Amino acid sequence: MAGHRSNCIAQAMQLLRLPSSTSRVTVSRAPSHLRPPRTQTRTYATSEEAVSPAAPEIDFSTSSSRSPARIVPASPAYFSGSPRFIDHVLKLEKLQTKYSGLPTMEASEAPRMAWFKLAQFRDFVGEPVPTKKYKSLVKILQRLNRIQPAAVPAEVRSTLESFLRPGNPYAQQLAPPTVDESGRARGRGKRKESSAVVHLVEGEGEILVNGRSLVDVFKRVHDRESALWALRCTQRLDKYNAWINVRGGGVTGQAEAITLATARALLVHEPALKPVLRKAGVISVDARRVERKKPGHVKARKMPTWVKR
Amino acid sequence: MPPRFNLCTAQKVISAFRQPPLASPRKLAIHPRFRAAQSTTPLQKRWNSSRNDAEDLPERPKGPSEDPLPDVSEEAAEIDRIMNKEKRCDGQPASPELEQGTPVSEILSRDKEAMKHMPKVMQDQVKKNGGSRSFSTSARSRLPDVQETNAAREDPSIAMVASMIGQATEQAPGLEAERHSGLKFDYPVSPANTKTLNFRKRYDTLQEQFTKMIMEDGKLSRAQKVMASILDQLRTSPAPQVNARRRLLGAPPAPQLPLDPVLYLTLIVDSVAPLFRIRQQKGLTGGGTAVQIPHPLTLRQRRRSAIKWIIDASDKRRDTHVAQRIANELLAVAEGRSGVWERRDQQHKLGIAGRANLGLAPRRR
Amino acid sequence: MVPSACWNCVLRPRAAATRALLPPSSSAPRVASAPFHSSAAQYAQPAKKKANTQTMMKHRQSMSIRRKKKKPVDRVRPPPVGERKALKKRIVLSNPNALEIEGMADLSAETMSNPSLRGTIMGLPVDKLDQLRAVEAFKPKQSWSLFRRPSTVFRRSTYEMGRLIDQITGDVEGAQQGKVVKKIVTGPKGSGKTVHLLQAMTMAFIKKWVVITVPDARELVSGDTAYSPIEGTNPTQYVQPNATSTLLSRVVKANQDVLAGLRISQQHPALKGLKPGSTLADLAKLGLQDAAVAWPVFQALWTELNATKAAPGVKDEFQPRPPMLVTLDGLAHWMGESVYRAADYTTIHSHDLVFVNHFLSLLTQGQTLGNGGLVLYATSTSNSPSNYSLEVGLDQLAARQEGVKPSSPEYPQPESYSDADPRVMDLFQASMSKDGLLELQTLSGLTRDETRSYVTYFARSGLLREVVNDQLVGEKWSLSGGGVIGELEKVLRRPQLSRPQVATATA
Repeated sequence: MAGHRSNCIAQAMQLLRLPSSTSRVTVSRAPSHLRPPRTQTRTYATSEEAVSPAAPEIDFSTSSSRSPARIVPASPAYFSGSPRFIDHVLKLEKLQTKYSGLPTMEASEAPRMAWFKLAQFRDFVGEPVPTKKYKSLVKILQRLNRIQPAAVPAEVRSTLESFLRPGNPYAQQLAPPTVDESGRARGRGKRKESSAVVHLVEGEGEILVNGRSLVDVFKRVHDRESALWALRCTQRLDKYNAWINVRGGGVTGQAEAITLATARALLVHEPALKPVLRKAGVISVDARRVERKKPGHVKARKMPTWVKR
Repeated sequence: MPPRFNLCTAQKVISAFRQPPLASPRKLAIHPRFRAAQSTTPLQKRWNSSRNDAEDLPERPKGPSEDPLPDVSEEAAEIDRIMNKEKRCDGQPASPELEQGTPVSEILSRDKEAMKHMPKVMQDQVKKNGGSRSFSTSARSRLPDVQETNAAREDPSIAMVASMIGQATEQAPGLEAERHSGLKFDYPVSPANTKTLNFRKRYDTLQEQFTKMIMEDGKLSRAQKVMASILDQLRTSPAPQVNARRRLLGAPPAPQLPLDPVLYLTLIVDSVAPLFRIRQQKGLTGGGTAVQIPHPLTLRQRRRSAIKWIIDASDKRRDTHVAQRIANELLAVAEGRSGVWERRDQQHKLGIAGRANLGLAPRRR
Repeated sequence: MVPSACWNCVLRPRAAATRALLPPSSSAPRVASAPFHSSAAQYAQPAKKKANTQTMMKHRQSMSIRRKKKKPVDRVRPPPVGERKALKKRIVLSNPNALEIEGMADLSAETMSNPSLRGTIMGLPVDKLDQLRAVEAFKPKQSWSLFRRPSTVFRRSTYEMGRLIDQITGDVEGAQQGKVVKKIVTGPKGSGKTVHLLQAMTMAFIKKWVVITVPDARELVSGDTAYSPIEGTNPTQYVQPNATSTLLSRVVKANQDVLAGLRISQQHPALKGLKPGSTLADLAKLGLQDAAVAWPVFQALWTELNATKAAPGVKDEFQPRPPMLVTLDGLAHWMGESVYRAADYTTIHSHDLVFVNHFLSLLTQGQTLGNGGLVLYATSTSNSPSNYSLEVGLDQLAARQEGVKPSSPEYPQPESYSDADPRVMDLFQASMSKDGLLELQTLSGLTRDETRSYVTYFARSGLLREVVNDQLVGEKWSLSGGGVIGELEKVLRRPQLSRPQVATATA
């Protein structure tokens, strides 16, 4: 902290010193005849110089306006702990308010950007930025990133680029999955311990799970609904046939693994359904798994009962 | 962050898109005092706000969605009401009339009869046929002047923003077409309640809450089975004979209830839900005695306590199945026979008695 | 004279002396008593622990030992005995809240073979409900209680059966008159096998047939009813008098009108109490009164019902007997060992029970019912033991129906070492003889049209608050595994929330 502060001070000092030093240079380099007469210490010797004409009047209009009356730091955030970070935030906020009227798009459609990671950003600004504050900064970045590409001002674009980490990790796009030659789309999904593979073909709503009827596999209507939610919420239940293989885990896990797999397979057929499926919560991966048991615990977290003796 | 904007530009941009030069008078009703404040530099500044330090932006581009005028006028009206209301004996707000913003002059222009009887000042005004003074409470007549002055200034930022928005709106149909290009069938019709689209929220809120409260040992599917059975019993049991003193809140006629079991359930639970709980606070009066303070509950909390009471009461019944016990208790509530009603009344009585203690309660921030 | 010092002190002087010398221990509380008395200190209550010892132990420890367990709520009294079972078996046929459906056709002599009504919902005739209840045609979990009155989907299979019954009765021209048709009804769970039997019974009642039913095959082999060996049979046969008696009571209750109109036409020397000229209903009632003679009575009734002409010695004029409908639910229970034990503690094969054997033998021989009729045996999926022999038998039946010769290699055979029951295999072998071929009828899901009318039925009853359109029908059809009607009903009775609005509403 101290280092950074000293840095700031140095910066400020430099700024302050600048006008004075230049004036000194001009003074020293000026030809002698243009030099303003110097006020000298008066000696007891009387000479010609003693009767030389008085100093010209000080021109307050020029000299006083050039140097500041008091030291003003370069950054308004100078007295805060992390001036450079705050400068960035202010700049971004200004941009955000300036362009808040521009048309935006959904967050899911915005181009994916690799912002600085926290450590990288700390190096970038050279200040210890707290995680939470950096998150708020990234939030502004993402808001700016949501402006529709056709309407993005050059100013915003260049500013956003300055916050990207070197090397674009998202440059390599995976080839989007396509429907194969017999019209099948494949999707995989996992939930808990289950994993499901769904082959989706256009059809009349016939569904087979592991070669059996849906009713045989899922006795609960709830699970059946879960499994077919992607087709149900898009009203495609009577428009596709599904051949489903699912293994591992229990009934609920299998049903929800199928949900995810079906939604992904449906996206291959109809990519434009993504916003609907996103809202329906069927293409969000539920990455929760059973927490492992730890030594010294009875279960994942439970401790054995404490006995005094 | 209070929006700091330039009125003139915003108005300009809006007018660029709306052919009728005047927006509704309601939006333009600005107290003169505030008008002045807006046109000059902001009175106070905060560093963390978007201040323009070096390169001051006189014309900030505005988007079409950004329409700050009503906010300001409302704010102005509010402040004016606060500041002036006490001074005026009749208590009439001296603010711009937000609700009735039609200027007098406009009314008069329509009504020839009224024009004859209008005040002298106004008649003079008509004779003069011009001038900046308006007799309406709104700033409507001012506006063209402002616009003219703005239009006189060639402003590049207006043009820029306008062109940007124009581009974006032009692109919108293109985007629409693109969205539909990835479809093989019709775009799905969204449900009436968009929340239920999500498969984690597929059940009615109350039904789900009730189900989860029935649940024991984390066995959700079992609880759901019980819930289904309860709903079936509500559906098949005869319509309740409503007790006049304890009727269900806002219910349709009783014979219609069983055919919509979820609504039936909701009405039953909501009707016996208490409005508050009684908090026992110690140490307020000294001497270690607890003071009973009523504490308001949210909808979900209210329902929770009602459901808890119903389930507790059903545990004392003699029927064989959980579902049957709860269903019978619910029917008893619907007919006003259940003890849950007394429980709620008692709670309310305590709460009413404890109103006096509200002042003792520590203020919440 | 009473001594001034207490005996205790006198007897233990040293102990008292030492205690008196020692400084008072800090732990033992000092009690105001005479110094030479030790009893006060001994019997004093132990010192109360100070409250603040609790606070010392607060850090990181479970209080579970000291925690009181939550008391379970004690119910006032347990429900009365038998209430659970009564509740389980209770059949409610009407929901007064559901809306009446106008213009719904009833199953009747005219409508039961009307092809134009296929796919509609048809009510069961109200005057036949008592008879249907008597033969236990309704099962508890078929959600009859949801609707105003019991009604069924008039499916393709129903229509075909209606036509068949018409033909056997002789109302319609055809070669089937007076024939016996035997069918085994199978299908996945919830596909409507039992309701198919119910529809057959309704039609039979409409046509004034005699209906004999075994509503639950399990009760005969699960050891619930009494059994006794029949003397002089080899291998030993067993009779179940009580089960037969209940069967007779079902027959009498359901077919009272028909049986009361028919008089005895055969000689029954075994039945002493039978007067000549009595009706068949009287005959059956003999078995109700005395379970011991139930089996002979049933046999007598059976011969009477299957008689085609009067026996030589009987004076009464012979009345032609109506055709018969014999139904059975839960065939798999009868295809293996029963839980009954013989005298040597070996299990009794279910085919050794005469009751079971009688009904199974209807499948095998040619014209088993003298006046024609229908034999419908359904498998069950809700309560059925897994039975390999039956599976193979049904496969063979299906293969035969498709025209696979028993000699061909594709003809399904029990796997070697698979322990298939030879008696079951023999039964199926015998049932596939040329005359009176046993048929296999497999029920599956409803078609879309039938689904649509079923969904509409729900909507019109006020149980489904949706607009019925193709989308809704298709969705329900898929969710129910291809229109399996039992599952369809489960899907439809759930409260619907996340239904998309009708397009007109949003547009």
